[in-house]
Amino acid sequence: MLLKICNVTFAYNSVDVLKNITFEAKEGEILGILGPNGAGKTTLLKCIFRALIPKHGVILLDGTDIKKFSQRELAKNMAVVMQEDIVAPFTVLETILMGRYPHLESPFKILDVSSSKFIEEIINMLELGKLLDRGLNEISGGERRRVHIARALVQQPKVLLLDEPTVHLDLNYQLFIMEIIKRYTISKRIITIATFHDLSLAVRFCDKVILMKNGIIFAAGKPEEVITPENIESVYNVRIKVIKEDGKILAVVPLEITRRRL
Amino acid sequence: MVLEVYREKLRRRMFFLVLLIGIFFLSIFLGISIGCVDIPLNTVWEIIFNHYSENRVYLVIIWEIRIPRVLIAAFVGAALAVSGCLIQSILRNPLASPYVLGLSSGAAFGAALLVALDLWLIIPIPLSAFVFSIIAFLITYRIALEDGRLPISSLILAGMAVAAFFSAMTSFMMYLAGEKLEVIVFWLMGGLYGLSWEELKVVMIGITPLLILSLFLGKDLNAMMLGDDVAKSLGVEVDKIRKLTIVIVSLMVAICVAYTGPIGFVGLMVPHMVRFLIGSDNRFLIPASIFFGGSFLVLTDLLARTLMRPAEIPIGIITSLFGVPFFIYLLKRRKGLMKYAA
Amino acid sequence: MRWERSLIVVVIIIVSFLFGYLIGYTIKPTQAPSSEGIVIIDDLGRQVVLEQVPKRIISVAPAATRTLYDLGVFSKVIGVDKYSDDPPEAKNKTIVDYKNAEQLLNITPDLIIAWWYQRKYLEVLEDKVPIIYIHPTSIDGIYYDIWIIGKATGAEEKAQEIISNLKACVAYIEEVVKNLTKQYGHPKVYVELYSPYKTIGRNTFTHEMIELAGGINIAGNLTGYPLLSDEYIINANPDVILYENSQLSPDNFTSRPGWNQINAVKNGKIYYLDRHIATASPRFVEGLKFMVWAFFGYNISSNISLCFSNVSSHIPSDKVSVSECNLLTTILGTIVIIIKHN
Repeated sequence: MLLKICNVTFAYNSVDVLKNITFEAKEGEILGILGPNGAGKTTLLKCIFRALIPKHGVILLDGTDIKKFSQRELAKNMAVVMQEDIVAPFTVLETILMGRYPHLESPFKILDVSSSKFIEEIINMLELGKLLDRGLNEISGGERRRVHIARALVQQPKVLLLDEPTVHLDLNYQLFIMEIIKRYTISKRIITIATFHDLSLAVRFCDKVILMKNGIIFAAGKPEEVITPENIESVYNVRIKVIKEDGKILAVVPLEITRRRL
Repeated sequence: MVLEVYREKLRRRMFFLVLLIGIFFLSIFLGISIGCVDIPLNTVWEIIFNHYSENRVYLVIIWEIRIPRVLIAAFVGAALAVSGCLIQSILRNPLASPYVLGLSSGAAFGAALLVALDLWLIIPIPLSAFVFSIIAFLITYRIALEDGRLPISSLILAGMAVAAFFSAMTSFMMYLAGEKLEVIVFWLMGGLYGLSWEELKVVMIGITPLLILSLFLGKDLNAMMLGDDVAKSLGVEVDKIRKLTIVIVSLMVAICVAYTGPIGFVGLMVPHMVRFLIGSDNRFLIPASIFFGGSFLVLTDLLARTLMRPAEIPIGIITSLFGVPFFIYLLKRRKGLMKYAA
Repeated sequence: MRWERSLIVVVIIIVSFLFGYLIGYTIKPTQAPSSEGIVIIDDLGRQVVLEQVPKRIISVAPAATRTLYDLGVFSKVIGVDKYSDDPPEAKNKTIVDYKNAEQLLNITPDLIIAWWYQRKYLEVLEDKVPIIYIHPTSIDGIYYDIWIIGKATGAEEKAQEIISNLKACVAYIEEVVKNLTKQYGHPKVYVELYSPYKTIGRNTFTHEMIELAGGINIAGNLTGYPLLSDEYIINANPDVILYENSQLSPDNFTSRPGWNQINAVKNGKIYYLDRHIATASPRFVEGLKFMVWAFFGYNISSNISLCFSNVSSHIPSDKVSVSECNLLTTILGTIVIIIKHN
């Protein structure tokens, strides 16, 4: 399964936010999108699941232009976890079950019984069992994040899109979530694309990364190839030190700002 | 196993829904049987089912006055409650009422204009109220429309602006009306007087399809409450649904306010009261609001007609007067209530 | 311990409010009347002092405008409100707006006569110009108002003359009505004011007029200006309907739901009641005559025409002497004051 983004350009009020973005994502891999604030990471994500419609360019899922899918059909294939933390008056369980909405044909059907087993699996996997009856307003932001991840997984997508998945999560949950996502990506052979601010995490969990700057892809490839002190300084204006072990990058340490941004 | 608990909750919600339907029909019967004139129950029965009675006066009262009035109350209560539900979900705002788009201000202006211009005996007030209600809505819609989308913040602000404008214009009409001021003020208090089978027909034909349509929106509205992006990722065509929903709300509210004047409380508070009982899932909330709202207005109209008989208290007063304590009661008990089915 | 403290605070607050109220109530600016000074008590219980006989009178109550004309002091009237169209000459006076205190002051009146509910706007002028507020709730109240307006404008004798003539007329009408009701019984009457379904309760002079004319007010067990429901009116089944809204016609009533059951509608006894003859001026006797005609189809003969014209003259035999009238009306007035202060 292949997700191809070809020459996608997106403009907001005649200002180009994305220019000629081209890349591919394969099944079983986590693709990380890195870049400073305003580089266009979230915009790119939104173009992929068609919350925004690009001015030019085409996005192909397994060779089919996603334009041809209805919003609902696309939803059967793609699930999204956004950064925005909206508190709705639902319980945790109700929110998680909403992941099945694209698959429920009738507007009145509440539950498809066939999926109940794997829904339970996902709830247990994300350790949400004790929170099921709580309202979304009664849990922390990080817990809400886990709920939405569960919701996305329950959707059984072929493509999983995550916007800053580890924000608001504590150290333990950061690793915990990323490991679950990694395992899930590999075992279910889905395509996972996630944006990251934390370079160390990105490096650790992503199979491929693309580094964005001002709406274009500055660099793309394996994490070791892309996350170099030169690239990072060019894009972030921050000097870093890369700590390696056995040829693999263990951590990325920011040292100092080299140039103040305008 | 985890879902067994949920299924139990769903069963309880269905039970509540059925209970509400029962209460709905019971209140309609109560509303027809009780009024400022005491009519014995068996006569009421006879009239409803046989459309005949020896006592011609009773026959007329039940058939020509009470039945249309109570049925209109049921429809209007249902429509206002559902509209409240829909608008709160669409705008992701629990403080929203169906009047937030400027609908009732437009209607008020329509009524006030006719009275001030002395045309209110030639042109029926409901017509003018309806027309201006729709005009207010269209203005709000047009102002909020951006790139073919209706962002929530724009809708709220546009609605506020339009409401404020028509409110001021209504006050101006009241100022010009002189001694006819009373008529306008009275209309503004809302009431179900003077309604007959003619009006009932219009209300039924206008509102029923809209109510049925709103039943189908539950799932999509649930998704939209999680945010526009998440909703889109769940397959909801957010812009289309939002536009459809506010058109449904506007038509329903415009029809209601045109005939009854602005009745407060129902659109804002009834959805919350139903939420305490049945939870926020719109697939249950919407049908439950229909029957709860209908019963609520029928019963408050009953009180309005009988508390100070034979005088009639304008219904807007009663809905708040009795609705608020009931609401506070549910609010205080909500923790316990919500454990059951919400 | 804590609630005792809050109780004390509450008691202190209540006591201080009462105290403040009492002080405000008892401190009233009093003026010692000068030698020519006229003192009257108006319908709000206020002591009104006029230093001299006024030469520039404003009337913002149409009933008072008519009364001033009948008292023969119309030349002293410099301003009237826009609804004062009786007599027609009133249209030649300066039209003023009672809400506009500035405008009133600008034409320098030395007496203003107004309805009680206009006090809100005229209060600011009370220390600059003597203001008489009228609020008659009975026919005796009308007599009282005619008297105090007469006294205030130096036409006390004329006022007493008018009053005694009116009383004689009323006595005559009562006789006629006694016979009519013996023959035809007392018809039930529904009076509708300007607003739909609004009627008059028992503490109004219109109610008294109806009873005097031999009718029974279907809202007679209520007070004030209540709003009736369709049900109640249909059940009460009035024989005669009188409406005061000049823009309506009898058809507006026949089309109301269920109203075709009502006697008055079936027999076509729906009549427009001209407010000029159903108001607190000497012309109310014309209203009585109209009512007798509406209720019984009987035209009170005009050899008591002096009641029904603008010119008064002496009527034979049963006329009460002036001095007795004086005493009578003084006693009446005193009783009225005592009742009003309680």
